[in-house]
Amino acid sequence: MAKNKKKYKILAINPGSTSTKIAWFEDEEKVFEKTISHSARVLEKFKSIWDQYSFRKEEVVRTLEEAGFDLAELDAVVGRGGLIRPIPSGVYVVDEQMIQDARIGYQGPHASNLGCVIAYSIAWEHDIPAYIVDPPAVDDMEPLARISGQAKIPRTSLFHALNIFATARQFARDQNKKFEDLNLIVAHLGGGITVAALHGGRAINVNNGIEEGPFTPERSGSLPVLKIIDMAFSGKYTREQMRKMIVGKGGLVSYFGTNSALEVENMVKAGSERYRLVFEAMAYQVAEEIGARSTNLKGRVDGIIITGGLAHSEMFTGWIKERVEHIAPVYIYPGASEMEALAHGALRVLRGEEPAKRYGVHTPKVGIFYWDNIEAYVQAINYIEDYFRAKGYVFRKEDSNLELIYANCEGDDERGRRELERLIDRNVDLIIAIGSPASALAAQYLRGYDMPLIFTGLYSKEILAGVDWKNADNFYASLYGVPVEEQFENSMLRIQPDVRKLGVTYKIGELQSNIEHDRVREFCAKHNIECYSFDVQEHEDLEEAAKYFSDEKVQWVYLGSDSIIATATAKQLETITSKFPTQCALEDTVHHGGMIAYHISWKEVCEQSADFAVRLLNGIEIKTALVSPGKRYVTANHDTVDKHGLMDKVKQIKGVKLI
Amino acid sequence: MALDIFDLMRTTNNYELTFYEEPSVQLKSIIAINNTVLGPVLATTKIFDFGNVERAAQVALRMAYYNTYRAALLRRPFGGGSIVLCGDPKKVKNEFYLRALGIYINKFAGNLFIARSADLTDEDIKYILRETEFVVGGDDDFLMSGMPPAKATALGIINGIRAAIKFKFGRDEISGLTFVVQGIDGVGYYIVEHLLQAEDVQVVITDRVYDRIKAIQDRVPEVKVVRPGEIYKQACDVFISCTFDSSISEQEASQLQTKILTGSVNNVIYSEDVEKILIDRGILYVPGYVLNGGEIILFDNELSGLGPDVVENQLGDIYNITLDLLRQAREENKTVNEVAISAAVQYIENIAAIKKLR
Repeated sequence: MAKNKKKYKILAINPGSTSTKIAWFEDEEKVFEKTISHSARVLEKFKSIWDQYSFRKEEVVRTLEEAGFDLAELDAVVGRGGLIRPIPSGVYVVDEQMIQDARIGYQGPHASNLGCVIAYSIAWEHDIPAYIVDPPAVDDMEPLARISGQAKIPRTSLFHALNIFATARQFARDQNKKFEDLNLIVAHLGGGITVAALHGGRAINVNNGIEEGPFTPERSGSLPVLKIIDMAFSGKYTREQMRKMIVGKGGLVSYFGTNSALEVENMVKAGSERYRLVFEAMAYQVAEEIGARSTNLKGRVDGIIITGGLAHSEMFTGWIKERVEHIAPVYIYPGASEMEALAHGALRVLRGEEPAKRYGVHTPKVGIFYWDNIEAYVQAINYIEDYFRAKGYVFRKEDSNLELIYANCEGDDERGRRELERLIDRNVDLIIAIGSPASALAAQYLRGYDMPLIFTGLYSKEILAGVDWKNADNFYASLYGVPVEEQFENSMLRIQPDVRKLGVTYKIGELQSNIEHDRVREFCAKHNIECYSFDVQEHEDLEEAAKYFSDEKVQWVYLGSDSIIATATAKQLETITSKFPTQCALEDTVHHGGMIAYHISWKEVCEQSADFAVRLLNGIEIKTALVSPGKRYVTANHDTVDKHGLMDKVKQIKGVKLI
Repeated sequence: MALDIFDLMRTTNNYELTFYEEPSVQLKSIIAINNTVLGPVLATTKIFDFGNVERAAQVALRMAYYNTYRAALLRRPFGGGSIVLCGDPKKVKNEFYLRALGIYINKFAGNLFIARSADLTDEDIKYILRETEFVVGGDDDFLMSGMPPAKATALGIINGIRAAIKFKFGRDEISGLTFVVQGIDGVGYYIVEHLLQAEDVQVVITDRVYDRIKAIQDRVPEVKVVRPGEIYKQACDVFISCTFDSSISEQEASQLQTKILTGSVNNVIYSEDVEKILIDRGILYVPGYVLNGGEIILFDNELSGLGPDVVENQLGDIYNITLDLLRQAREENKTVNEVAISAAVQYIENIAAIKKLR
């Protein structure tokens, strides 16, 4: 005999302004439902909606106990989520962060803010989970939909998410289709009216139910803005009166003094032309909004669903239907099943059909943007990752609290731009650009974006020509370059103060290299040193450079920080390093056979960048956006020094590290 | 196997255990008397639906046992005893229930005082006072001056904890430390309130009753809250348990992520095996009865007719007593529990010897 399957017992709580609805479910079956009314006199005693918590909770518990329910039998409690911070649709575990946001009324005070805390409280005391499902704060809107036309006023989403998603899911079940596979337009018609375009299970666009879209029984919807401004500044109305005119005393109330659509409909049926004009205009505007949503879905609409209390009116839905059925078939789902929507959401989680989302846990995303797979950049990524780990970040693991997204330009500008676009699409919180070429590209491409950019190992601030560092709120840089004069004075001139002929490689067309080259020439002019420059565009050019330097009988060669030297192998550099003592701009060049470098630690530079990132992610103030680690190091290659017979002199340099 | 009450009486040194029932008011009480050498019994009261009478008796005997020692450690003239009332307080407690209890207390003819405690509200005490004068903590004038017994206990515990911090970390300040408080009703509430007044102190709280959590969180949103089942895993410097005696078994002891364990209850650990685990894990355990005698100091002052202003000063004694015991335990390579009981027993024996000379 088949074993009886356990039935999940779920308590759903839906606080409204003057009542608290509760329902007890055993799986999908609603075995008890009650609307607990709260008299205005009692509610007036509380200073704020939040203060009504104990009163409403006691009423809920008492009602259930009187009806003979044992709260200890519950598997979960689900509450109507409130005006918390904007979140994608879904079922959320109630957590401390959510409670904090509900307490302060993140998007405003509302009775539904009590839903999560009452659910949490009952769940806490019975050691079971508490959830919320699709709160009004659901915000899945696509980026295009957020642009209002005034940069200072982004569009925000506030709509009947619970009923809209629940009805859409019900429709999908009725059609035997997967909800996420459907393109739907769902219009919720109630005291407020919102019309959402659903694509891939998300509301990609929807009118803000408080201030946009069709007028409703008591809200004005979208209004001619300039006339509103004139009224607001006419001196005739207070701010509160103006608000009330839009929400509460707008819509049908403003025309007829009633918010009862049924009353208005009866007047229409009785033959009133005036009532008909306004009532039909409301349907006209709903149809208009549906039409707008169809464009959001590029006309590919599987169905138009009309739901909510007003959907009971055949007259009203008929007017809408005749104007929109050319777009897609219209389906009427009258009423709202919020209690079912709440319970079914919790049930999906309990059954393992859908994971519950974590509200308070935002996994930050950091983009790591680099020029190519060269050793120094790979090393930089390792240093940055190590720093994040040391600060408690976990990534590439199940319990990750940070997502690192890597973007490699592969040495190509065009590819780099595409990678930056990819990082923007992934909604990264910030981008760390590694090395000067990647930094320059990111600075150029992302100028104007609201995206923090951290430049790692920038040779100097001049690399980012045109960046006004005093006003660049979103740019941070860890500098790597040591002034050329300081390099020579602390290594080459210590070993051989009488150098008179210096060879220098550089790469024409690379800004960083050109700046560096100019400075080398300035240094030489100042110290009466003849300077012999050689442009290296490819690694093969190094051999020719060596020949040129030999012909000119240079005594030393400066190997700069251009991309040819930075990416050259020891073998490619050998043609120069074996013939001449070399002053290297990069520590890495010494590892590849260069003789000596006076430099900043690459590790410290990378850690400085990671530190900027950690501070930005945690909202910690950054006092200086341009930082160069102060400590200098002298690194010399033992074998190369030995080969040139300069060991005694090199060892006299204080703090020199021979590798 | 059924609990052998007499065996338990022997192991907890209790000499009297009385069971009393008054069906007309649903009163079911168990009174344990442990020791009266130092003076009349100052009995703390617990009202709880224990489920079975053996468990209730066990709780009464343990409470009485530790009450003797905490009074002795503080050198206060009270014997140790306890009153356990069986039943759900929400269902059984009313005027007549409490007055019946007062009438019963009279039968001990002044050898037993009922002390105001977390389980008895101001109103409860007023009903008991209608029938008996043997109540401590009933003087409204005294208590209204700002020191409820639970607060006195909490402040005493804080002093004891400061001593433990001094001993363990060598520092006088509590800034920079993390405290976990398990159970925030009564004494726990006052401990949390005190800790939250300190600068740079992180406080993690939990309680089985969410409303208590919310009350604190609405006032101090930054306090960290965790569910009761997660509390033992919280990394902290000091873990303060304000729930039940013996609530920490081997499993919880293995989970604890603290450096100091203590609490408002007399002895939060279940057995000596648990103490061994704590020692192995480097956790300093300070039994609650060593530092939870703040209310005794308060009551002693009330009976002596001294003002409450002296109470706060005297609560400072708990710091010195605790620190001395910790140092002694280290010198003698014993547990704090061993040296505390030894010190208390010695004091009781000395008083007994003096009394014989009278």
